[in-house]
Amino acid sequence: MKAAEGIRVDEVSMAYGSSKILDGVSLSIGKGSVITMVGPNGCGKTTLLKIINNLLKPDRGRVFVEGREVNSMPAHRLARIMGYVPQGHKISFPFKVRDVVITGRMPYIPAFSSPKREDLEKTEQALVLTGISGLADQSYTQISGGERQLVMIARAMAQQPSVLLLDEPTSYLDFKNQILTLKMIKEISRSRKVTVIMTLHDPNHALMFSDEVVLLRKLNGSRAGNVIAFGPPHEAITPKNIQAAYGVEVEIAEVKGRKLLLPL
Amino acid sequence: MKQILKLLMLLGLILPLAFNPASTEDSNGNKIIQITDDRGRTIEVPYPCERIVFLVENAMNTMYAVGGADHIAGIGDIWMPEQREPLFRAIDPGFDQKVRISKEGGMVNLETLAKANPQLVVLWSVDWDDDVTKSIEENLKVPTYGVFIDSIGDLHRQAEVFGQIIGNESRATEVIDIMTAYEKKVADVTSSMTETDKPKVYWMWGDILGTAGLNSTANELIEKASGVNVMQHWSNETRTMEHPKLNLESLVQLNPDVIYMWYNTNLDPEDVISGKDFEGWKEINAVKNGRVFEVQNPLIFDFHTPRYPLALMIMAKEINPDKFQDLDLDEQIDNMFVDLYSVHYPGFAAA
Amino acid sequence: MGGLRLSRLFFNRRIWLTAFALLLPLPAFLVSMNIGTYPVSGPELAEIIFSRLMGHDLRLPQVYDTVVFNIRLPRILLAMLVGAALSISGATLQGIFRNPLVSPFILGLSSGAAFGAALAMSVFPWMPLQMGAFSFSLLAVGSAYLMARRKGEVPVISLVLAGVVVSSVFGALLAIIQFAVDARSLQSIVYWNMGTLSTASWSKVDLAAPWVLVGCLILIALRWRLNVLALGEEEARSVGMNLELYKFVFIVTATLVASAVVSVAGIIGLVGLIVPHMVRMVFGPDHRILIPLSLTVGASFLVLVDDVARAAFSFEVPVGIITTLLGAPVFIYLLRATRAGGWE
Repeated sequence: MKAAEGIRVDEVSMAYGSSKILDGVSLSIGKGSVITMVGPNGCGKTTLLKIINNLLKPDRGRVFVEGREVNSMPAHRLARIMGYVPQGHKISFPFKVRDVVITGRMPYIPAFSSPKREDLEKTEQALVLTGISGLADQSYTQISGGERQLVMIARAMAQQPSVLLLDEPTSYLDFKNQILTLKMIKEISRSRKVTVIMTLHDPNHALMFSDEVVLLRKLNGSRAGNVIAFGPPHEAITPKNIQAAYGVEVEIAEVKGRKLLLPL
Repeated sequence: MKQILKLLMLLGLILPLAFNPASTEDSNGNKIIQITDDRGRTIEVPYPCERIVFLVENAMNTMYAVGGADHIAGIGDIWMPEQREPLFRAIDPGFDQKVRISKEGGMVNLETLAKANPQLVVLWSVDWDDDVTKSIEENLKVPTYGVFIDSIGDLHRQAEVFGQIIGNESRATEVIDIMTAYEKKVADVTSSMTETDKPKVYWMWGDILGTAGLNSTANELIEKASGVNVMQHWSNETRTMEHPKLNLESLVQLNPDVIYMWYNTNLDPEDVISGKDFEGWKEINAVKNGRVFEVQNPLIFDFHTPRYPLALMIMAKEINPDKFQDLDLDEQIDNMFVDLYSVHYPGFAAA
Repeated sequence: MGGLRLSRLFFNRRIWLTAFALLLPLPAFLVSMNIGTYPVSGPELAEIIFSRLMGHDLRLPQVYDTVVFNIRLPRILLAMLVGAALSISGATLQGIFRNPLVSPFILGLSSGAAFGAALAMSVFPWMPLQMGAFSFSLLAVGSAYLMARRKGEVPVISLVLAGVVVSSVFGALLAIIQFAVDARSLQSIVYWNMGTLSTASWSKVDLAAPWVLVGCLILIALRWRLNVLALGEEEARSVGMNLELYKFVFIVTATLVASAVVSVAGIIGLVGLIVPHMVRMVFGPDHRILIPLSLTVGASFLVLVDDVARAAFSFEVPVGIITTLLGAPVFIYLLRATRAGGWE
């Protein structure tokens, strides 16, 4: 099985109260690729992402990373493997950017200790990697939304993870920053051999930036199964699948050899 | 403020004398009488006043002394009832039948008060438009008599007024004479003392560093017991307040010869003399010489009632022991209870 | 690179400022030792301390030794303990709750303490007052914590609400006592609630100091973890923090430290709110600096404020009044100078 060292989601089900969000989802994700999860609001993509990172406990099913079950691992062990970038992050303290990024070193720092020289070095590397060294001494509360997204990516990278999870990394960004951020995420995945799993709103972004796409639909009552398609972008994102997931008619256009989704 | 109050009080006393006889008749032909309370306000009450409610217990002691037991219709909260109620029961067979009015967060329960159907409500009050006064006068249309004792003279006047409203002036005069006579037993001894004989006394209220200012009944008590209130030696202008607070360094500097503690359930003289929280006090003369006293029995030592001469005697004997060797306190206490209430102390057996 | 040199300069100024704030308790202590209503001159003070240290006989009257060592010194130490404890506790809880309006009393500590003290004063005279206040403040915070706890998690919002509920309940219980007791006991309850250092003694210092010392050491050792926590709960968990464990440890430690001083000095408000806030305005929110400086600035702040309370008028002014009157203008100045302190 190719996922022996990657991530395996095994029959995961989850409900909030009486409404079922995820039902028997199984996925097997290889190392080093960029996976995007797309689907309409309420399809459970963010829930699935949090279950993978053990931030939520599923009602049923298990998640394995590098062969070990995530909820049996000590928190700091898991945090050395997986970094997580939340959606639209806000904080109330005017921390310096560097002080935010360095919290990514948490899994390496013993309880009664503070960051040491090595942690500072890793922090600087993460700042360079995400191109925000120039912001290091600025206040987190005074930078733009796009920059904050980069800070949180740098923080996750300071964890030196082999898996990077991102929840809607483009949702609060303008057009330019959406593209720049997604390009950077792909670049990080390639250069650092990091598996990226992110949720996205726009199937077009999934077409453009992912190695594999998970297309999810909302569980409306009895219909079993969230996953409509899981595979390379052009195979997963077809007019038929999009119709099934979103209930809208689309066609695929090809511009200069690249595929583009157009609503009808 | 005090001066103005006193002036108003004086005016209140003089004006009715000038324009009115002690009692007149209202439009229905009922007799009424005009009296002035400690707030300097003149009020009209039916004469003789038959149903009086005492929300302030110390004034009720005066009413009992002037023979007004049957005129008391209702009673408010009593401090340390286990000590006081036996006295009242012994001198008033109807005590337990009287309406009891409880307080709810500083406000009296008006419905229970109405049940007593009072013609006059006596309460502790400094100010004639305080909330309790207003609500009683507006809702029940009953006049209130504000009690506010800050000198021993106020107690004499209280006996006189209470005698007037129940139509028993002769007993009121007797009560005043009793008070004066017992007070004189102390004054006879202390009049020969010189200033240098008098010990410096620090009065300790429950808040420990709060004391009796130069305008207070406790101050008058200290002076009559032939002590010097240590506040006399303090330069701070707050010393004239009723209840000034000082700090420990100032107290050490004032160095009183005697510390006189108000009744305090959490603290005893031994605590002040050798308690671990009082290490800073050990160089004070009173502590060095073990001259720390506490009011032991607030029923006897009650200087807002006609029994105040007993408080005076106890204090005088404690702060000037060699001058009052011959004063038998037990005997004096018993005698005064007999004179005021016709019962013996202790035990309250009829005399 | 003019920018670099400028930032160097800034950096240097910051270092000096930090060192100043860190060492502030020392001059504050020395100044306070020289202040008091009992006249002790500088040379006399030196001689009194010297004779104690060297163990030889004092050439001044014994009363000088008592004033300095049994009145002034315990009061100064108590003021410093109280200031340090309330400030470090406030800084910690502000971090956990990620909210500038949080004081050490947010979880019902003061209401519990006030109730416990009133109970000891009026209902159970055999119970030492400090014990009543200490145990009931812990009980109040403990019940707020347990009320907010569901399925092993204690969300901050639930904690705040539980704190409000617990405060009201103990407030109501206190009101019952206040209705039931006579005017004189009522007065002592009111005085206690205002908080005072005027009854300071060595035994009170001894009672509070161990808790404060141990608590401060724990908070200082764990202070960087507060940075992680302050970013948000999900953010903290995603970097592998055992969130509920640390929240528990921080709340317990901050509560013990504050309860210990409240039980000996009553409820002195505002210090635990404004000192950490002031330090944050000047030195930023990094808890690696904020926690130790809250301790030292809090200690210095309260001892200096208490100097005014005990010596400016020779009669006692409740220290809470001076705290407010002196603290508020400083606070407002900083607020304006730092553009709302960088809070979002």
